[in-house]
Amino acid sequence: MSEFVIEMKGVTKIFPGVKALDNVDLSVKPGEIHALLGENGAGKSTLMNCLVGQYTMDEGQIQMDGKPLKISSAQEANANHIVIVPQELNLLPDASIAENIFLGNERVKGGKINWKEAEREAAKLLKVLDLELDVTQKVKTLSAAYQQLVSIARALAYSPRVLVLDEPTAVLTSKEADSLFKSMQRLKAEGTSMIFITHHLDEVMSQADRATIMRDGQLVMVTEIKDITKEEIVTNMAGKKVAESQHVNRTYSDEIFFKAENLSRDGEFQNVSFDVKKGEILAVAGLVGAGRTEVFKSVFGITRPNAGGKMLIEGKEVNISDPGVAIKYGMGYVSEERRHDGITPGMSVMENMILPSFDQLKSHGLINYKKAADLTDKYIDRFRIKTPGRDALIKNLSGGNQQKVIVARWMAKGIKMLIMDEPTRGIDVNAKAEIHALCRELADNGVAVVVISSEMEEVLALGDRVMIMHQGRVKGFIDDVELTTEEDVLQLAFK
Amino acid sequence: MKKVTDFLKSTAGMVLIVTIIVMVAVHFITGGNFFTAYNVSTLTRQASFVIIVAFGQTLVLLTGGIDLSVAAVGSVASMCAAKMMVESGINPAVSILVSCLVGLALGLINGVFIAYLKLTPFIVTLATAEIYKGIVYIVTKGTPIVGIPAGAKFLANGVLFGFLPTIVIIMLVICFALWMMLRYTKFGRYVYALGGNRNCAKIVGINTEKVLVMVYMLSGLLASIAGTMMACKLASFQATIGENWVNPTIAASVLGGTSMIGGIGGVVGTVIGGLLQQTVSTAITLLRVSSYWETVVTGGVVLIAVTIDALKENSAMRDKVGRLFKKK
Repeated sequence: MSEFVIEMKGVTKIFPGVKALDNVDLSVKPGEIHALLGENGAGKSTLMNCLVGQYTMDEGQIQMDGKPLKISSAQEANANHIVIVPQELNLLPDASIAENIFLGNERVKGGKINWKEAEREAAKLLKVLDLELDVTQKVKTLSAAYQQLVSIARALAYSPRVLVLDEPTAVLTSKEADSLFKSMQRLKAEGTSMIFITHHLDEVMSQADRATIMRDGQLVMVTEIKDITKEEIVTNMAGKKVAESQHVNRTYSDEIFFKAENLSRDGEFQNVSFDVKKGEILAVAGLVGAGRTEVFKSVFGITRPNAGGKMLIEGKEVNISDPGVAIKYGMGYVSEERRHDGITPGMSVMENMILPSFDQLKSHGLINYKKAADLTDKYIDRFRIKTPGRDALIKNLSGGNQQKVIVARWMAKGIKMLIMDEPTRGIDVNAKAEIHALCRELADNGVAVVVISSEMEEVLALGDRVMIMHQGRVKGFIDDVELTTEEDVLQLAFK
Repeated sequence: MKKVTDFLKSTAGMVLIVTIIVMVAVHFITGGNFFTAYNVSTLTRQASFVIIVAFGQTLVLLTGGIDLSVAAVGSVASMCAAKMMVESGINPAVSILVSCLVGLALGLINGVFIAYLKLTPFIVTLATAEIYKGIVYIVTKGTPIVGIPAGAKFLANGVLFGFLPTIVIIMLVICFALWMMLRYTKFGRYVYALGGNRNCAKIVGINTEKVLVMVYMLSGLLASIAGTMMACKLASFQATIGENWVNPTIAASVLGGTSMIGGIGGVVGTVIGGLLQQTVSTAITLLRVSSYWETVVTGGVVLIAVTIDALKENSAMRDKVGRLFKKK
């Protein structure tokens, strides 16, 4: 018998033009939590997709219990009790919890689905995760966190020996995450091996037994967690030492660009008043669900502040009825859901960048692609966007580079105010520092910048001023950000 | 050079190669009967009508929608044109123009339901197709309207230099105009943006409703141009005009590389897709195969084309198919 339940050896995967994986090994022992670490684009997901049969390896092999195993589809992986919980939820919103859990894995008896048994077992699986829910309710009625747990329960229905968890805590509150960790430890005690992908190194330090660190499609190191520190992990992931983003004292004008007075929207936020000055970075802090995204969706005209309030731009009252109007007043918006509203995946980097700017790229009434190409190249260069070229499809870029394209889109348009909602979510450490630098550069050019962030470090590093929201209300502002701690912000929020 | 190889690798490029191979093969099998002035002009003329309608279908597909009412819109427009020219004696140019406005209006109705009431394009155009078709039968009771003036007939049925049908020129002019529109105007780029990611289109300030309505209006306009031209060609209105347009227009677009999900494709490919279909049909006639086989072959060609396309896009599926062949 092998020491390992699953071994991937010498895995190489080549995509057109890119070697996504280069001779990577991964070995997981029975009953261990194995962290798979690396920046975005390091090849973690590609490796896992090879493991569960989504991709075919160009080279390399997989062994289970020391015997070679050929996996060419998710079904085959599941049949061998190798199961993945993907980062992107893929549940059927209109189907019940039980239907979702046994989707593709139905409990069939005499040719028909035994719903009674399915419901009983679904409840049992949720129990493993410390959840008690009515399994007949529709999945769309659940919060994102519960949906994540239902996806995990779906994986458990295959009685996994190897369970891959790709960023399972991204949408969970810390309490929910703790409860997930308890379940993970229980599964571990029962002998289930887990491959745990996360960007939160604290979770790695507290939960994992061993770690494999990857960088640029290559294996960097395999280590016992007890033999390594957080700082060493970061250094190995990044390949060079990265400094955490520090607060920078900036000066800016006292000219107000945008002012909101008592904005309210039913069920979302009440009496929200604030202003943003030219060249200022206003960071908006608060917990998920504080109403921050909702306020700025209204500011940008995606929704209407239907319960009253006024918006003023450079002192004049404006009626922003849709995003087109907001853009005319010089605003830009970077959504928190990059793939959903930010990029148009099938279009090139250039097409994504120039989407709002055709008017300034015309000559003789027609779009001048020479001008468009020059503009795009300028920003690819200036923002150090890593892409094979302006004609590459944006979906093939890493998250950080996609985000840079979106920021560049608004810069190219020549805006006066930019709203950025969770600009660095799911973006690796280095790209994050670059995005922060971009925010400051924008502000230095006189743009009023609003950054909504759930990461307290980011709020304190970026904000010239911090606005704190809780349950749809503004709880206060902090001016001397440099002297502020995360605790101060939380105390204001819960005041 | 890279542009040429890229084109040949695209769906439209492959379809063009297949079309040429079929043409050449049939030419030799029939002992030189394919590339004759008569055959080429007949083939291109017949293809042009469907291609003009398919241009509209392509625009709609680019936004991620579908227009099942093109046949009925064409029929209504041809009826209007025939009635005005024959029964009211109105100048053919005016009649054709007014009929095209009717097509625009019918497209506007589709567009308003789809864009502003957010209804599914499939259902809306399915319903309006039935209504528009019904109107034609109510007005004409299904009887033909004959006696369209010769001048109008030349517009659609004339041949220049002995081989170049006038309708082909009309089709090519429209193709060029639409190609320019799609590539070099804001509206054209917005059509792609809409089909590529509607949420993103909204956030960059595109008035998505307006763009959608205009696309369905254009589809109505193009269907009505083809409809009136068909009436001119036949020198009469027939209730059957356009009857078989819906499926071939979708097939021509898809064979030309336009994605059914939206955001990818273009009108040049549609010309090639339409030509292939007509080539298949002509080949079947020339080879004296029963014409009942025509739809079987066309359907098969579409299936093969979309399968190849899917394999190009989906590496996991390609791997699987690759393994299937390796095992043997």
